[in-house]
Amino acid sequence: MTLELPDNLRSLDEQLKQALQGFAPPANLDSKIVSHVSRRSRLRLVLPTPRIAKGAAALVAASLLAAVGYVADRQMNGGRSSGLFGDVSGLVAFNTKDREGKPSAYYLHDDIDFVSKGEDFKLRGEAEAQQGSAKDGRSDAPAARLDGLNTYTGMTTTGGGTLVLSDGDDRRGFRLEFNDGIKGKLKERSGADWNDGLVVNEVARDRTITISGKDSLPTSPHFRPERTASREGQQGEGRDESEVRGPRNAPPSFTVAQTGEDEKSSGGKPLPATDPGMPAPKPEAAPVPTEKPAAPERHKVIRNGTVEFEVDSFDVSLMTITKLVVENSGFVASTDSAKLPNGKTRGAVTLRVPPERLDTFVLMLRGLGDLKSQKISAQDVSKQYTDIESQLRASRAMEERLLDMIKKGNGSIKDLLAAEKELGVWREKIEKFEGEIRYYDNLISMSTLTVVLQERDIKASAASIEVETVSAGVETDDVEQARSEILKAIDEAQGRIITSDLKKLDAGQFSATIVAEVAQDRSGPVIDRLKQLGKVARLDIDRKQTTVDGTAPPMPGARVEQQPTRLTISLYNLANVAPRLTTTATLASGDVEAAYRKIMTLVEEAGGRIVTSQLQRPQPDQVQATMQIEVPSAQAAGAQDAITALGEVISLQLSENPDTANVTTAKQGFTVRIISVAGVAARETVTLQLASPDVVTAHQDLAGVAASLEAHVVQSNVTDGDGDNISAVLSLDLPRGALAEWDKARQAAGEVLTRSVVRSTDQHNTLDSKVRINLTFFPADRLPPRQITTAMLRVESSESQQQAFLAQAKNVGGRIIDQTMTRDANGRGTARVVLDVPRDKAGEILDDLRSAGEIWSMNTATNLQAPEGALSRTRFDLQFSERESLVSAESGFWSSIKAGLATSLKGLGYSLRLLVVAVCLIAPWAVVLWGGWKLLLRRAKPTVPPTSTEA
Amino acid sequence: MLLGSTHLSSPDDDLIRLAIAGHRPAFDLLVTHTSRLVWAHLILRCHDRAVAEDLTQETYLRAWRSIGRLKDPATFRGWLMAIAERVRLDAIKHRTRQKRGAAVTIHDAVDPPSNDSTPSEQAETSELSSRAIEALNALPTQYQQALSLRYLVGADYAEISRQLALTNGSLRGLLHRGLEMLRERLCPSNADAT
Repeated sequence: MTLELPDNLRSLDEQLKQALQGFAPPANLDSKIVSHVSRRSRLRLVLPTPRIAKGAAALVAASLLAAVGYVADRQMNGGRSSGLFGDVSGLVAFNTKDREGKPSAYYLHDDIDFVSKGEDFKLRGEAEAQQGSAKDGRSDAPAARLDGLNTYTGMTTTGGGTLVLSDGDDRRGFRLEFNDGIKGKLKERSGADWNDGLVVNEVARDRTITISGKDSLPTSPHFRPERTASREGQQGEGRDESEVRGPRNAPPSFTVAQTGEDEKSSGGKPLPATDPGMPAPKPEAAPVPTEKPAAPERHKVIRNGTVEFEVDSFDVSLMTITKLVVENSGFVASTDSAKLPNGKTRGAVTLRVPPERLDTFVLMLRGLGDLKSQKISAQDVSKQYTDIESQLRASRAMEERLLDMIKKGNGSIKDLLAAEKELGVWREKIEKFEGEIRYYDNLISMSTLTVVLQERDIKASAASIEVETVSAGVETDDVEQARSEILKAIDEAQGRIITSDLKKLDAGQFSATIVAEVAQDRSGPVIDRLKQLGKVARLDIDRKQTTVDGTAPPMPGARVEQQPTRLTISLYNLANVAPRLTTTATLASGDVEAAYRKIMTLVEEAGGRIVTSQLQRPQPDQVQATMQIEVPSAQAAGAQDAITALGEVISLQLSENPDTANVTTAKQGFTVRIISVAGVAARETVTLQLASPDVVTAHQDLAGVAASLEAHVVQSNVTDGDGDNISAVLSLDLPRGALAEWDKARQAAGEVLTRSVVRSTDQHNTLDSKVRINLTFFPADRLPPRQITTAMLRVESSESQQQAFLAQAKNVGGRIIDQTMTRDANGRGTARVVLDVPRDKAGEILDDLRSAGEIWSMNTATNLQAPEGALSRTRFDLQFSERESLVSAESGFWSSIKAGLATSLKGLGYSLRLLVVAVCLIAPWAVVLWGGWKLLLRRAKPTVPPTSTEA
Repeated sequence: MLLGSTHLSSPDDDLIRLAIAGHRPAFDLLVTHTSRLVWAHLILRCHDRAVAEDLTQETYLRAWRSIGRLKDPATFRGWLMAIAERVRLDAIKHRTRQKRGAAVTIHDAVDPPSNDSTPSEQAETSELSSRAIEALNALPTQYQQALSLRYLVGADYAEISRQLALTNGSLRGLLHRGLEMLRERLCPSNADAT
């Protein structure tokens, strides 16, 4: 990717590139940084301690680092290689011989920092090497690439690790595998494979490393890494590192025992340690006796993994993976992908990569996209592998023995045949075991990594469907004609009829339904045709985009597939459609039947339709009609006026149906209920008590007036109790318009005693056009007197006056209420008469009263409870007394003599009664007392004479 | 470049989070993603590759020690550049103390770019490089970073995008405008003529 620049800028661009190219960073800048950070980070753990402890801790740390470091030496000797390869605290060195046998040494700079046991992962950048003489281990040549080996990778796991130094293409390189940190194997790349290499048996505590392999190796050389000459050279150039970096921690030195010829070629004595703080180990203290090459420890581990990513593009990711897997010495085993209906791709890539690169490789894959899951597993098959190897060796031994038997030819033919047969069996076993070992080797040598890739928004739908549905309702007069027209229009639009039906209803109406599918771009003309066929009462056009499965929203910009428009058309007569507006009216009519017939006529004239009608007459005066009619909207207003004019409107309600598919505004519905006026109560009720001189006549008169006024008489009766107590009742519903004429007749009939008017609040079930009148007739003479006059008169003859007033009362039209006549022993008569006379005749009675005699008392009172009017009366309560004589008959002469004699005789008899009492009561006691006295006297008579002294 | 050919939607956020959690390998990958940026910043001010290298290493050492305190991964680059600047100032202070108040310019001389050219060409190139460094230093930070990566580091397009975490379009605009500004400063007469 290049930047496209105009000419003037392009020249400047080139100039700047040339002028500033000297500032480019070193190629291994990253590895240097990583090494620096790693080393300094570790050192930091021990630096904060006090000075003394710091030194001791530094020693311990250096020893530990040395103990976990790995050293390898490599000698190039006629195509065979041997040597050491190691790293301690960031310093790696090689001792080699070139093809001419000239010893040389390669020191890797300390920008390579190898791993310690237990660390999960290390990745290194490029490594520089310093070529020098292997004789003294010092560098004497300028820094250079290590023979093209410039890629340094390393990895440890819990059980071991791998250190690889290679060229960028992994064509050449060295690889140190170790199992537990102190034992391992050094391999050299041979084409695509690694040779068996050398076995690093052990790193001893005295830093002696023993190496063995398939070939008998020369004894290990003494080796001591040092600071490289290049660093010293940098320091010598005046670059004071300590000013910038601070003091470096010198790598600990270690010694590798060397015996045999190679000792001479590699220097023969330990190299002096450059770090003054670390005394150089004595060479004689370091050597370790040469050991027999030990059998390599075999840990056979199959490492597999599965990672799942969500990526932007499957293809791009697959290319990236392919590139990465080739870079990591692996290959793509299989690819399995599938393109989903929404255009997204999902698939799995099976990779085979070297197991030591599996973790590194998985981390590299992190750049593919979002990691969804990761699973790395390891299966130790060492036991199975060893068992198979043992069985293989035993089988081969058996094979050899059988071959020996056959070759020697000892035994019978039968035995030889048996041996050959047995040999076949064992060879089959050998092949099986070898196959199993190859199988395990394959699994062990290359890990299988399954990379599952799925593109983002895998569930999103890539395509959406646009569905249009048209639902229309058409009101038309001729359903059949309209249906055929629509079918023709659909046919012209090259549509498809799904269903089509035509129904004739009971009332003769038609309805038709058509369901069809028409291409979306051709649905417009069909819809326009509908509008020409009648009134499109309902038209719903619904267009929406959905996904195929409807589970996820369509992606923006997704492909839209237009489905045909589905038309659902309903055709119907107006009769089958309910009106949108309905008027509900309740009328009270005097003649229900006439109103009913008028409405029938009205509907017919207006071109409407009577849906239902009903006329009921349960009683002669209770006629009721119910009608449901439909009138075209144009005539609806006139029809409503005409209907309401047919009677008194009790209620009127206009309701509007919801605007749904089955209503129309082309017509208006009426629901009319007509009831008889007589069946409805009057809103106003007048109750009267009427006093009339002649009840029967008044009742008859008013009943006649009511009939003439077309009043509805509810009740009418006359009760004649005892001849005098006549009463009558008249109850009627009178039209309000005739009320004045009625009142006139009623006033002529009598006098209203009481009146009450009650007006109902119920306006729904009452009529105001009529008045209910309840009349109660009373005889006028039963009315209580308005005035009461009480008088007492002294007359010569009470009886004659009584008769005179009775006659006068009759003359003035009065009524005699009561009359009494008494006469005492002296013959004096007293008479009482009670009269009711008309008020206007009362004066005549009073005049007669004044001339009749001496008025002792007269009192007049007015009864306010009694009505004042033409029929009011005055009551007279009159009492007549005759005058008395001078002496009464009991005070006459003879009466006095008789009275005197009588009194004298009464006195005589009384004195005699006293004498008898005296004799009977006193005489005994007088006798007793006399005798006693006498007795006393006798005893008191003295026997001795009185003395002279006393005298 | 391990991941250079892979398109990453947000390449560094996961790595930064891992590094904040103490994951060293992730931090090492971050080093490869940002080391050129830090280098460009430091070389533009130090003019010395060796010093810039040391300061870059020290920058990342400090960054690793304190990355646990980084709150927002999105601010990683700014935070890293602040550390680089602080490291540079600390180095100047340290050197000042060492030289007891001597002049603080770390290096004024620019390394000769090539040994193949004639002395006059070298002198001309050296002058141009000095002026270019000056002009780059005077540019706004965003242009300065992009152009430094292009000319001082020699990074290609993809590398600059990754180091600055910019999209392709943004980077093109930055480079184009930055180059125009640089031309105005380096060749004012040409700029006026155009």
